[in-house]
Amino acid sequence: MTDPSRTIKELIEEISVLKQRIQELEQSDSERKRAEKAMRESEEKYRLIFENSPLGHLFFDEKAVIVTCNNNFVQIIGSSREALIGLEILKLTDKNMVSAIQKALNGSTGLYEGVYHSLSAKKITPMRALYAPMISEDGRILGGVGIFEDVSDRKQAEEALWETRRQLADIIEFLPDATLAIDKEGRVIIWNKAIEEMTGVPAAEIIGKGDYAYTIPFYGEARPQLMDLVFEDREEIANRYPQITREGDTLMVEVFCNALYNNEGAWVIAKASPLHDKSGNIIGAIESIRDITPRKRAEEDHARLNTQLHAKNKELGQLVYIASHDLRSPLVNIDGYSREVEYAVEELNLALDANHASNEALKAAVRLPVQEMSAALRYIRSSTTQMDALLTGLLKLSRSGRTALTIAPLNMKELISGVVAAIDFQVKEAGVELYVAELPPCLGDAVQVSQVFTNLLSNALNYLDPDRPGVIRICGVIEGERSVYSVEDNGIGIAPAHQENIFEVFHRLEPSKSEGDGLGLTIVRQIIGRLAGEVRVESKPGEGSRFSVTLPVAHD
Amino acid sequence: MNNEVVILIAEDDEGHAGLIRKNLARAGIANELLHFKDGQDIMDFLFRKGDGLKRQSGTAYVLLLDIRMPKLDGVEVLAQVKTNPELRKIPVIMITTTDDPREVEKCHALGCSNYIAKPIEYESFVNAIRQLGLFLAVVEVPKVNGGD
Repeated sequence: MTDPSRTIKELIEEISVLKQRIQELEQSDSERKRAEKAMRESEEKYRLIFENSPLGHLFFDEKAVIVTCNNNFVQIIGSSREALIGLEILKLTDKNMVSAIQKALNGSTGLYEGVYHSLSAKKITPMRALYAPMISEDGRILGGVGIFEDVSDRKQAEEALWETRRQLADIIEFLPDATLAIDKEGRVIIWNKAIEEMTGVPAAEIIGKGDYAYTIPFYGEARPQLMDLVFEDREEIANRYPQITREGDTLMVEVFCNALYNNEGAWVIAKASPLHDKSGNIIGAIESIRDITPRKRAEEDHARLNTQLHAKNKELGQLVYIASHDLRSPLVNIDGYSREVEYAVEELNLALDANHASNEALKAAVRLPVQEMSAALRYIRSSTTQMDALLTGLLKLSRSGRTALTIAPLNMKELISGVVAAIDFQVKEAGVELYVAELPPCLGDAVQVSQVFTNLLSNALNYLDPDRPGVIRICGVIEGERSVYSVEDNGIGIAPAHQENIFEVFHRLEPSKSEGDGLGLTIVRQIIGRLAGEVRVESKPGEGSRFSVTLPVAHD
Repeated sequence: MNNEVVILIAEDDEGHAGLIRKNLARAGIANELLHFKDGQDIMDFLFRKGDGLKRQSGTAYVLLLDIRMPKLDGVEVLAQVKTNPELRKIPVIMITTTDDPREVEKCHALGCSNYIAKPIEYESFVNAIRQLGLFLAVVEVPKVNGGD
């Protein structure tokens, strides 16, 4: 039974409390609804992030079972959501992938980079994956999260890059010109096939080496070279090269590398340029080298032949000049004395036309012109003889220059003995003492060399000093690749002013003194020139002369 | 006053010297002629050295100088004469072998007063002398005519 004693007041109080309770309940309910809404909105936000991330995402639990994943992940793997959700990922066959997942489950980050072969689909994907653990607030590992990136494009780009690099390396490797490159520290980074062949040094032996290891095959020693000049303009390096041409950044030289080809050496042309990085800093240098020895030799030959040609032309010019002057001289006499004969004939005619007092008078008038004619004719005759002699001499010179040469090693002792024997009579008659020392052999034509020494000895005999007994000495010595012989006398000597003239054609120092044709020394010089030798004179007037003849040495 | 000019001929060829002599005679020039066979002899004469003839002071000379001579050639003689304060007053006529302009140029470059080309005809010789403004006292010699 209800207690009527409970007053209405108590009931109202109860109802009011109840009302309040209901209010509170309603409030908490709407709060709950708000919280639910907020949670739903937050969930939605995270879901959107999860779904719309440009990367693939997945979550797995502590047993490594995929709980959820986004669409991108599904696409990257190339599978389906159904196949993936619930997949036990520690059971995958890709060991690297498994190890990355395991790392995450153990509390750290796992990285996977590679080409992934999907099991659940037939897709092969180059990818990058990062796994991280999901740790609760109290430190328990609840599972993990994975982020995936399809790196096919990047992989392709990388592969294309590698392909290009390989192609470039191949190009450099097979360039016809020897090429090498060094980095900033002077270590060899490129050494191509052509330079391997040029130097005989394989790339494997030199790549990575510094300290000028790369100059040893060229110069026989480690030393700074052209590429160093690319880094820095240093005078002591620049001075090693005869001439450096600069074209923009590139330096070019022609230089002789003495150590190439087993120390035979070769002329090369070398071009060096700097290597720059993207910002324009110098990070190394590259040099290419080309053997130009044939060209260089040809240039040297060319220059030598040119000089020879020049000299020959000059000689010829001189010859023509001297010859034409010397031929004019007798011609003047022939012309002049012919005129004298004309005058004499006039006189004779006058004498014959005149009326003379007596026969004696006629004879007297005729005698003088006849005498004059006689004298004139003598001059004419001797002048023609003189011209003939000059022309004979020229012919002799010309023939001498054209005889065939037989070059052979010559036993000079024998040869000189022969020459001396031939002029023995003149030597004895002149009362000259002749000494012949030991003579080294040489290369030459026996007949021509004999002629040379015959002429020299002849001269020595003709230009003795009357004030003292004549002494002639012949000796010889080897100097490097040359045999040098000297014919020394104590005769009258030759003044410095004439020492070049004596070799001139027809030149005679003392025309009255000797019967010579003035061609002796001209022929000596001609012959020696043809035998690739030299002839020189040293002389002091009053003391004597020394003629030195140089010929190539004979190799046994 | 009759300063007879002495004509010096430095010429190594006998034949040429003879022709010069004959032509001078033909021109009626009877001045004294002195002949020297080479450069050394003429130098000795001019510079009063050696054993032969020597130059006399107070005498006027004209020098005919051949370019090519043995021992000392005409070029050297000319150089030495023209650099000597006394001797350079002597007129020098170079004897060349040609009319070649180079030869002529060479002669003038050397400082010669004039040149004549061989063979020496008396006309060109007399012209050369006249060009120099020299008055050679010519002694008229009656022409040789048979016996006398």
